[in-house]
Amino acid sequence: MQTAGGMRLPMGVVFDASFGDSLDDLLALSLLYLLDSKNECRVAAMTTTKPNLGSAGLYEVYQKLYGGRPMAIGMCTSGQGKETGSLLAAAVEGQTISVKSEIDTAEPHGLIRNVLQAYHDGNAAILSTGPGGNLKDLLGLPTALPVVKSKVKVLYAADAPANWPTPVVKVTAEMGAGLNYQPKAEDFAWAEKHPVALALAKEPNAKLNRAAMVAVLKVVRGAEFQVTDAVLQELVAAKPAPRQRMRFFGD
Amino acid sequence: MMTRKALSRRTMLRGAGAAIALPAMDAMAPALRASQLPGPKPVRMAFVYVPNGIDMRNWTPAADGPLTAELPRILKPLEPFKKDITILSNLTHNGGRALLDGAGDHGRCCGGYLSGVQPRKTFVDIKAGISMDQIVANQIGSKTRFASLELGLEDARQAGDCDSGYSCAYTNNLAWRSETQPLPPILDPRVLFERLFGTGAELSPEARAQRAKYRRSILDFVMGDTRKLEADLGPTDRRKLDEYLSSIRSIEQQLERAEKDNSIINPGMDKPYGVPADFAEHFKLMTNMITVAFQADLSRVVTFLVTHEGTSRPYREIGIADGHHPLTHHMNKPELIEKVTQINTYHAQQFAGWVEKLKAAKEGDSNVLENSMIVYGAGLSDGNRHTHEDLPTLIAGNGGGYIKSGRRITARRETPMSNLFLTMMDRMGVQVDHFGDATGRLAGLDLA
Amino acid sequence: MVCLGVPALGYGQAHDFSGTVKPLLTKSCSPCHNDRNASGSVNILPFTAAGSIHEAREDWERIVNKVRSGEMPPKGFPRPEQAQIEQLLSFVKAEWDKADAKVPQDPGRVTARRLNRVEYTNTIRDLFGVEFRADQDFPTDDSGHGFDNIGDVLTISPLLMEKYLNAAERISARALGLDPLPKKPIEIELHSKDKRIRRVAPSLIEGTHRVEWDGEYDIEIGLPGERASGKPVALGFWMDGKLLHTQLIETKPSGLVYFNPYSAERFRLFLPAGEHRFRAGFMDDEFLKTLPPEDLYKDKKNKFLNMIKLVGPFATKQEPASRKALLTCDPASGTACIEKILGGLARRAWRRPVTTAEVKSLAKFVGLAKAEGQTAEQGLQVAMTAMLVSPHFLFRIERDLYPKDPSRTHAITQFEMASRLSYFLWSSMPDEELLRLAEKGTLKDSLDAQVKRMQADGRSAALAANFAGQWLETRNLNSVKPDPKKFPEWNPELRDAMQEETRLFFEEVLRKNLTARTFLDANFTFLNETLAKHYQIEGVSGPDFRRVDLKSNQRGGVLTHASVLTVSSYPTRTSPVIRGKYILQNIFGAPPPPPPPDVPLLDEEKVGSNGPLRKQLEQHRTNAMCASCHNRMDTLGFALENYDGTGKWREKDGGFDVDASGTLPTGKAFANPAELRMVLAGDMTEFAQNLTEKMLTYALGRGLERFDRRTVTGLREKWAGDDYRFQTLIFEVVKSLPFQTKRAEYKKQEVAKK
Repeated sequence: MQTAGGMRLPMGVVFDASFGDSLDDLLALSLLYLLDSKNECRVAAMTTTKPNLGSAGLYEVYQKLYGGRPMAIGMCTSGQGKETGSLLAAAVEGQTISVKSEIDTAEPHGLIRNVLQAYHDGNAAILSTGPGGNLKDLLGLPTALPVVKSKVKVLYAADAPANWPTPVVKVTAEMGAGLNYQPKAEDFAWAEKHPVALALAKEPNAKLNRAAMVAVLKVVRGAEFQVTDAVLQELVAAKPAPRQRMRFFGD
Repeated sequence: MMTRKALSRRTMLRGAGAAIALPAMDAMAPALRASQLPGPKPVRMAFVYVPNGIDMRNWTPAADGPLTAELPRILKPLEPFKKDITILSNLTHNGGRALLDGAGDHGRCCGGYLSGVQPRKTFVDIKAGISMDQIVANQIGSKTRFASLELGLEDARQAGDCDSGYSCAYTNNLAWRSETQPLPPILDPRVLFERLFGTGAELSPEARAQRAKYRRSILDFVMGDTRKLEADLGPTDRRKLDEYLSSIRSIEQQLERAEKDNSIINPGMDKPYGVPADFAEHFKLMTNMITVAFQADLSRVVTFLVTHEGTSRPYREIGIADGHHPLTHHMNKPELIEKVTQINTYHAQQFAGWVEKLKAAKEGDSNVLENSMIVYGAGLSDGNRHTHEDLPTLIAGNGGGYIKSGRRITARRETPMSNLFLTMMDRMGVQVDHFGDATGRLAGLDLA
Repeated sequence: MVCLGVPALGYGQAHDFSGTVKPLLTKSCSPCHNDRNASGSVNILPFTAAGSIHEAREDWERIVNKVRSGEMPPKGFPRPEQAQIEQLLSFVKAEWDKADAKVPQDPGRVTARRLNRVEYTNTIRDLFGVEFRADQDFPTDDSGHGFDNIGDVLTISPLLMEKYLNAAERISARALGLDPLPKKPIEIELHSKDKRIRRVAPSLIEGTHRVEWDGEYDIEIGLPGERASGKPVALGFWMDGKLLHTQLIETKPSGLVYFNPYSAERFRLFLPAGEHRFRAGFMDDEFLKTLPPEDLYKDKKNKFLNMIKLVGPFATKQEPASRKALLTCDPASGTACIEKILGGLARRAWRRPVTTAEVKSLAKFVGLAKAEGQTAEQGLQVAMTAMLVSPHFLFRIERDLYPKDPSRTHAITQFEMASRLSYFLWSSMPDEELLRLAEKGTLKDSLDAQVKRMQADGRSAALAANFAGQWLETRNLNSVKPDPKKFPEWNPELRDAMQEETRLFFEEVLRKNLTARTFLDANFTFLNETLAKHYQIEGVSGPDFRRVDLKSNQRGGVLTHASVLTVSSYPTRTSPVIRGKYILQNIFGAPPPPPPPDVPLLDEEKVGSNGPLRKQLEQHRTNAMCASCHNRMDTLGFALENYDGTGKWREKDGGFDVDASGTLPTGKAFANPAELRMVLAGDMTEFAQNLTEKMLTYALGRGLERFDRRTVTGLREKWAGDDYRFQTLIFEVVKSLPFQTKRAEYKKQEVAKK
């Protein structure tokens, strides 16, 4: 049983995006997973608002690449963004993906609720860079509302539902203002087929606003944390350290 | 087919399964009552729960859709009934997972199996959720003599703890009448027989009516007494007496129902002597009686906890001397997995025997199986790693022509088991908006 | 959760936190438990603040326990000086004592307890003298904290209520001798050819049968074949181990003894309803002594009894004793008599004085029955049924004096005390003496004398059966199933003998007021021939148990009882891990945390194939994570490897010599199980603390809470002062605050998961 003091697990972060549509999201997830590998946080769930198996598959690529725990990927099955853009096509090119049909994915709202339950009160956060559909569905689930209330310390979202019950920080392009970090494909060469490298090879001039990366660092390290180009340079493309298995011996 | 021989007054002796016939009974009603009534037949529902997970490699058919290929090894005994079953994949109980409560997967997965909640980790102040069978029983139970029946084959552990800080209440019971009130299963075939077919069978109808009258006034008396007693008790003591009162009320309802129809059901079998040593025999005796209970419409809701989570029962019947639970922690050793698979198959074989009986029980143009939903499954998938997703689940029967069986249906990952329960409750005529951790209804059972 | 209290260590100087505690934590714990690498999800940093001793007391208790037991730091990591450790422990304990002294002691509150199956059975026995086995009819009671008398988990279901109603009807009818018998007797034949007879000894057979009605039965024993010459022999008939009947089988005219060629010996006996184990056999059969051992079970050489037949029931001519006791006047004589009978009975059944109004409302049932055209006696039976399904009978409810103010403690009433005592020591209702003292208001002044009397009373065997049976898990003997291939000696006689040994042993410790150390290092035990053979101890013959002094050091104390050794084994083999866990849990009260699910359980299977089990386990323990628990657990378990899966002594296992030696994390070494017993008995603190906790839990019928720790530690310290003599524990428990007083219930709040 967890009690006062030092027996806290790392914070869980749910990552929600119209994943595969923008390079910013790919970089943000690289960063988030890197922080996970340093035990600064846990990637609790990954959900996409894109009804597209490639988008879900790309999440799976990240999970394996960064040695994260195997998990179900949440995917919305209706709505906008069905098409596979060139960035997504490039990022999943030649990757081994086991997500082959809808049944290999999970309903996003149920999934998010389930994973949040595994975190202590106030020890989880959600970062959503895309349309707010999954978040709205989540609030529509009667059993999810109390969970969200107690677990989610903060929501960073581009499109937050109006009735979100815990503090919300809006993710806007301005968040990345003043930053100039430019990813280079060779920085990701530690992996044979890093999605960012593949995407950059195909779309070297992809637009960037860096807001999602800033949001990742604010979620994990706190709102006061000052994000600089140097920090992004150090972390975004870094190779994750081999994981130390941590176990919890409860009473 | 059930044989319906005349009840003899003399003792019948048949080896280990020796039985004592009931003494002279009058006004025997035929057992096949419900089946002989015209019109739509009632839909029945049962859950058959086996512990410690199932070896999924030998359970899951290779393909989705119609079951055309030969069934995997564990399900092989159900081969003759493959058109009558529906295999469900990917159903999940998130409440079975540790979440924040550490070890104790066996306690959790059984304690919350039918309620879709995570049971409270405790030895004493137990709390789970009202189970779906009881929600159904509360709604439709008044139509039958018994709102629900709970049975099992294995007695509770009598000393020591059950699973890592979880009360044995979670592993000893499947049905929960309220968050705090588990319903213990009947284990002894004799006790089940007496409950279903009555003590007092030797009484005349007049004597039975008189007894019912006394019982009612006794219940009135104790109810009045209890209310007085409750007045200034603390919340927990009051809860205990509420449980008592609600149990009294359920007996009153039984008495009311019996008043309308106090005929004695002829079970077409002799009263069993006690608990048979042989597992298969025990399983058969219990399910035979349930078949009769379904036919006679004594109840429409049954939960059957075959053995307990964490049980160390060996299966010498099939040459396995090691305990079931220790074997399931097989560390992926083939020889241990083999034994687990054999136990899983043995269980399925017993289940297939019951399915056969239900199918043979005719009801008009159909049969009891077609008018039932008999769920067979476990609260864990991989018993070695204690996984709570893709729980092995199948439904035998068609729920009264609703389920298009003979298929494997794979839901999306993480689909709550509660979604299936919502759909089943619909079929039982019980409309509930929310249940457990459901995210909606499980679609597709009725679509071929 | 209940943690172990902190033992009384030598009180050193109370040093300050930063000088005594912090350096040790920083030096010995931080290397693994830091904020970057929180091994086992424990980061020690917050505990280096002095305030944490109070703010995070539960976490601190875990730390203290791990350090004290030597579990932490794990083997292979540098261990601080013992003096340094003791300084830490005494500092922390002193801090807690200081804090505790400021808070008034909380007696806690016991939830209304429903009678469990044992209590119901015993209460019916003592109320009416009717034998009713609730365990054969009622669903299993759930247990909590290792006991099945915990109010919180004893629930009522509709099924149980149905059973209560049925049982109450039957019991009251049987008590009055009004249970209707079938019109014609029924014949039950248990025959060897149907496998309903088991041959338990060369001339002894057994069969079980459920007798449905109290009544007389004609009993026939089938005796096939014949014996040349010989003297008459005595035929005995037993029910549930009790000898009911003997008769001499006469020599037949031919000069042969009995069986000519088949005879059935017949006699009539009263049998109570219920499932019974019947035995029939020859007593002191001289003929057997003439047979070579290999012929004893040969049908040709030694014809055996092969049938027990019961025909009945027949109405008894004698008035049942229970009826005589109930009907102190003639119920037909009128209301006065009815009220006298019901009033007297209700006082006993409800274990308290009854009001006139209550008696009158019970008496109304007699009126009801009469209106139905039945007799007053039949009406009495209905009233008795009502009495037995009433919550006053089924529950033990204790009233709050200050229901709105849980902070106020008050003494329980005299009657509540009577029930607490009787259900604690007898698992049954208070007897006349307790009730009378309660009525006089003097029970609480004569507790010492009463507890003494109750311990000496035969009913206190319930404490051995129920407390010890659950504490030592020997109740599970009924469900364990040793593999007959590996353990061919396993049979019901041996099982019963195992259970009996431990029960008698416990009773001896209780009745003779021996020190609790005896549980660990006794030099005597109780044996009959069956068990003595199992133990390879000579000179014990016959089925009766007797106290035997142990001459070798193979056995001694409960940890060497076959019962304990069997319930802590797998069906096919021993498991040092399970046995180690058993000792940690039941002797030290410190069960190890379960392993995480994805860690493979230790591979104990390979004995005899890849070298001794012990080597492999040791290898496993090179993993520090596993080692922290398994060092202690396995060492204890291995010390018992000289006993096989049913507790037989062995020197070799799977061809390898058993090595039972070991060193406990505290540094104490031992070479064999006898030396381990000495080590264990040498430091009674943990064991006594555990036994105190268990006894208090059982006595109160509730799980212990944080605030009980002071009581437990206080009790144990007082107990230690009397060298842990067993009755002292019981006296102290009875005199303790939570046994004597109570308070109302606090409103419960869901605990947030933080």
